[in-house]
Amino acid sequence: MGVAIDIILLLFLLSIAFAACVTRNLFSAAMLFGIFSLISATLFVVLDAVDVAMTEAAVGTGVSTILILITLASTGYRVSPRPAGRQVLALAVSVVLGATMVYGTLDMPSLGSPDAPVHTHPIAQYYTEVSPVEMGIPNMVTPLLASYRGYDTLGETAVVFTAGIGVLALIGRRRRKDPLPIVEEFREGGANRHRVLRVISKQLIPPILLYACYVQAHGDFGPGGGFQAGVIFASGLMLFMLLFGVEHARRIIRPVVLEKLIALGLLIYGGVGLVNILQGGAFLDYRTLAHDPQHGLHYGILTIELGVGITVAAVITTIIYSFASHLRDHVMQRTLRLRQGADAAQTSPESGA
Amino acid sequence: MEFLGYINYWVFIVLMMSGFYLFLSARNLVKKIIGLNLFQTSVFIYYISTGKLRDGSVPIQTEGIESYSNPLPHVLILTAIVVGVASTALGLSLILRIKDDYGSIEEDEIDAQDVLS
Amino acid sequence: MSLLLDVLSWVLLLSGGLLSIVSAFGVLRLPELFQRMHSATILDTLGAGLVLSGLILQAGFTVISFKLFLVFLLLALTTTTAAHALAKSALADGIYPKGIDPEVVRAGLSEGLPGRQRIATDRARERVAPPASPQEDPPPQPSEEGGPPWA
Repeated sequence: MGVAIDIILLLFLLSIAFAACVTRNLFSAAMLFGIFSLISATLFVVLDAVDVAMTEAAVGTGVSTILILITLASTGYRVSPRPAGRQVLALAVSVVLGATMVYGTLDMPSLGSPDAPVHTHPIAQYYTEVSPVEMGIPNMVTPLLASYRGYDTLGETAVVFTAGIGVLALIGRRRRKDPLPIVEEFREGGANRHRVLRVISKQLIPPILLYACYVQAHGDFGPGGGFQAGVIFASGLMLFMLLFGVEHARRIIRPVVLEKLIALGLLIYGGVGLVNILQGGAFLDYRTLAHDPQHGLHYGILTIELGVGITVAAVITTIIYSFASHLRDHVMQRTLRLRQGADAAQTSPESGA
Repeated sequence: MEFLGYINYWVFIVLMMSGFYLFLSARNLVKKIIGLNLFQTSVFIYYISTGKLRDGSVPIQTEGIESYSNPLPHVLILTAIVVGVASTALGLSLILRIKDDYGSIEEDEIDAQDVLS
Repeated sequence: MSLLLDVLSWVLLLSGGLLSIVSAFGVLRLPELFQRMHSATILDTLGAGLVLSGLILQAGFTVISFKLFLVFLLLALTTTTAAHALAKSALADGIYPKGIDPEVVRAGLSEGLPGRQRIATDRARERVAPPASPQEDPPPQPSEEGGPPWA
């Protein structure tokens, strides 16, 4: 049964990747990528990675696809024809590289084989057998992420932080001296043409945000944690923005607050480490946080997961706000230009054209 | 069953290479980003598959289950996905700025403008 | 009793699966947007609903069946809304069902709708019948099926 599901999912993935390669329409390529992510999230469940599946479903299908679509809305869907020579060259390079990798797999253990080095190495046994006892946390992914590999996760959170700052620097709000005049038609924004869509989808936003909080708090016992909760929270806010327009969303959660939150999450993470040092332990050694070392571990993991969640949610929301505001400015400028052009043509028809 | 494991790897490699092909052959910058994302997601799938243990279970301690899949690849990829979307956003915002300045996101047209100026 | 439940749940599961196959076939084969949407929506609501109720019968009176019911609720809400939005966008873009007089659809669309919607329908009307100007060629004649050529 598992094999059948596996084969069907792989066939889906192959046909989607093929379609994405041959399509000439950027819109369908973006949608195909979203479907690809959704199917791969299903494959992650088959491969026992439920935490990863949750993140991929929220990120790949929700956030990435929407970001690509927003970009396409201001750059256009046009693709110029490609010269055949370059395609042949690209195909040749990909085939040669792929064949080399296939040759490499021949020396690898088969998928899921129990005597693969991944499973026979002592650290694997440590993670699956000792860690639940030592930590008292049933979900092995959470302590591995937050405690055993705490430095690594701190680094990854810093990368997310940096990417958020980078997007803000590139297309973030610019404080204009002369703000753009508002085109009345686009004042409200969002899906204001679709009343049914608005009313129904609005009901879904509170459950999504609540679910994100549950995932954040429940990471010790079930699949969940800061990264998953952060992206789910951000996709809830993204749904709100899509329905009611970015201006409305920015009035509810202000960009200034988000900018503070981006830094706050990382500060919480690093602050826990500093507290550990002050209490006489090593950096990010949570056992010093309470009298009972295991309680200390629990406190430490919960706190840094909170920090990760805050940073991830704030960064992704900031990114989406920046993209949507950029698109809004773009649309308004274009409309204004068109109107000015039309007015000029009306007032002076002899000099027009 | 052994053979099927290899088929899985080969499919992952074909997926990776289709993303790579899209990245190499496309002249449109957004299409390049889509190709990179396909490539990235396929690498994720491959990486997760190495942690899978046959007859293993989800790595959450449960009564009556003895063998669990290795949680280490899960942790690495979990963070990589979020970092991946953040860097995709960075790439897309660069594309938006290129569009603002050059008026095009086709490689050839941008090159032509660079030669002229 | 348990045999009866088993039989009933399998009947539901199999009919749901069959319906899904039929509607997937319909999405591939039907000629026009609205017919394909009809087929896809059947898959989303009735197909998934039957499979889920079969699974609920299998799971019995537990937390799992409550979760399955929540999944059903979510699907019922979201897929129908998505279908509505898709159809509306198609109409606003000037794609009309075959065999239906576009004027009827437009009359229904522009009745009692606030500003932005009326703009959209006006735009659609322009696409169907571009404002006649004496220099240009006459607007394209509808094809033999009665629908506009691009539908």
